[in-house]
Amino acid sequence: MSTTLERLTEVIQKMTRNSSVEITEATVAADVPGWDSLTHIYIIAESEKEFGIRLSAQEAHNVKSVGDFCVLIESK
Amino acid sequence: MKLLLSANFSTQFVKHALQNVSDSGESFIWSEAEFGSVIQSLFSIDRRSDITALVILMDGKNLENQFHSLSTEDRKTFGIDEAELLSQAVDHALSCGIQHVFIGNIAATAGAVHGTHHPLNHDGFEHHRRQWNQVIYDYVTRTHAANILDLERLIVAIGIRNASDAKLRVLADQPWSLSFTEDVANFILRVIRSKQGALHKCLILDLDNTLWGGVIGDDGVEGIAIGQDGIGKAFRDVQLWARELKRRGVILCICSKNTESVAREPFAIHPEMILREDDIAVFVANWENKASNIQYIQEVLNISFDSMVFLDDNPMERSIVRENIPGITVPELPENPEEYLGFLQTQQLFETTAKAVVSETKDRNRQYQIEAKRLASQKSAVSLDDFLTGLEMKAIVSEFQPPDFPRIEELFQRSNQFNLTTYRYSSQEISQLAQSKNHCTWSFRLEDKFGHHGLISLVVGKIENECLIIEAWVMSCRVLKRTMEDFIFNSILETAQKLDLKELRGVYLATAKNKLVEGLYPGLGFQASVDGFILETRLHKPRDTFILTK
Repeated sequence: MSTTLERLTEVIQKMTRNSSVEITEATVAADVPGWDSLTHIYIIAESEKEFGIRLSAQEAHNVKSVGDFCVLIESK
Repeated sequence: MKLLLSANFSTQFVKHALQNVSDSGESFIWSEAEFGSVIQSLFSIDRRSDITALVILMDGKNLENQFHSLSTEDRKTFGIDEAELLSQAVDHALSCGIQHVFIGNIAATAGAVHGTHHPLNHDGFEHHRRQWNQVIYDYVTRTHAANILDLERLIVAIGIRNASDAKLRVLADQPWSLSFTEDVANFILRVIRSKQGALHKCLILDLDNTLWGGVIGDDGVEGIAIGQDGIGKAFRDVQLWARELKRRGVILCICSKNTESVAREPFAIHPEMILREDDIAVFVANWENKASNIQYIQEVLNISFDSMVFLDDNPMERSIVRENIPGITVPELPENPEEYLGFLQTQQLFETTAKAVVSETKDRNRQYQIEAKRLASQKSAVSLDDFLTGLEMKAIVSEFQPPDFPRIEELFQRSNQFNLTTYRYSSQEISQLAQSKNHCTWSFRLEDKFGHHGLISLVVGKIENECLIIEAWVMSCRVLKRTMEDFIFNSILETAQKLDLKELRGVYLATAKNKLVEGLYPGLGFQASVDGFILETRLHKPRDTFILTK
């Protein structure tokens, strides 16, 4: 069973079309080439599908780091 | 083809979806307007712009918000004013050389503060939305280069709740859900492709359990389900849909595994049948496999497989046809007949940008019936020459004339195979050509003992120095192999000789579909050269043809 971080990493790699980029809990959008505001929306939508959850606009807006994102997902 | 997206919301998602759903072979370059306002972005286009087409999208909710910020006084003519301003901005863009404009209509919004009489209340947005749409429809009707994108129908089909996404609206100024955005992108591309000539022209129908319920060979005419009762209604609705398509110019054919006389019986005598034998251009019922029967239909119609749609309830037959006929569209019909029509109506199978039915289009089915008879009589004729002589063909030659302009435009639009240069002349260009001193134009009508074919070929020649350059030559494939090409060549040659032009020059620009005419000019005696195909007029006599001038 993959961890939340591993599954989220795959989502980010897929949506940024960058399969080698390293993702840690400290990673923020600015660290990842291709993670712009448009891609952010696609990452949110894909994560909702992957984890079977629904995020509010406020939650999606507040996510700053990958670590924040993992905590948010696990709280659902 | 460079296209500019302009909308009253953020276009980045639509652009992304359009790029994703385009085929790799299509050379569309999508760009986004730099200004937030549609009007401003259109007026900022100038003559140096390299944009070919504009796509304008309006979100109803955003327009409604704009409306709600106005005083009662300013609301009075809001819908009309906004739409007229947009029309003027589009006119400006067209004056800068943009060739096509696609304007999305506006769907109803969910808001109805005035209750059930909201649509009647002029202080509510609904009234103005409808006026906006109407002004834009009128504008598109009178503006050749403008087209509607009927997004309202798309939204109605899946509902506002499924089409919109509140979170995306808040986060990214994007009114539509990601999946509906993809539907919109697919629809936009379908419309643009049909503008480029990629049209479905023919619907091939199976019979048992597709056009009626039951098996005619087993159940007999009185046993099949069609009409007012029970499941018969589902099939009646499919037939009504097919007949409306036929009225519009789509060719209907039958391809069924049945004994022909048995298969034809319901068309002739069943009182509830909507489709009659007259509606069908080519009727094939036998026990051979459907792929070869569709090849036969293709021979009679002389249109390409990728302009055909095949409907069959049997998954096995569908898969055989799909595998053996490259390019044909075979929808995966739902299992239950009551769901056929609803499914078919959402597939945009017969998308078109034609604004009105041209009268000759309506006669097309009859002409194919004549062609099928002719093919049969060709089989019985002793030789091809005897056959052609027996046809008693006569052609009428004229220049481009105003009453023919709509048909001329349509023929340039629809011809793909017998089309030497694939220029798609607009109606404006057609009327300019007709008046030009430097151009010669020809339109050809053909008739024979079986009937009239109508206007079947067009040629545009440009006079340059002492040379007549054949800029465009299209011909309906229905009249192939009749020596019509020779007759047309003679007309061109005669004009060139009369005008004392020393040389004819033919141009062939290859496309994926016009291989048929690759060898046309060499076949007519032209010599290949770096500038195209050349023929010296003084060295040539008219060619033999079986067609007389009427």
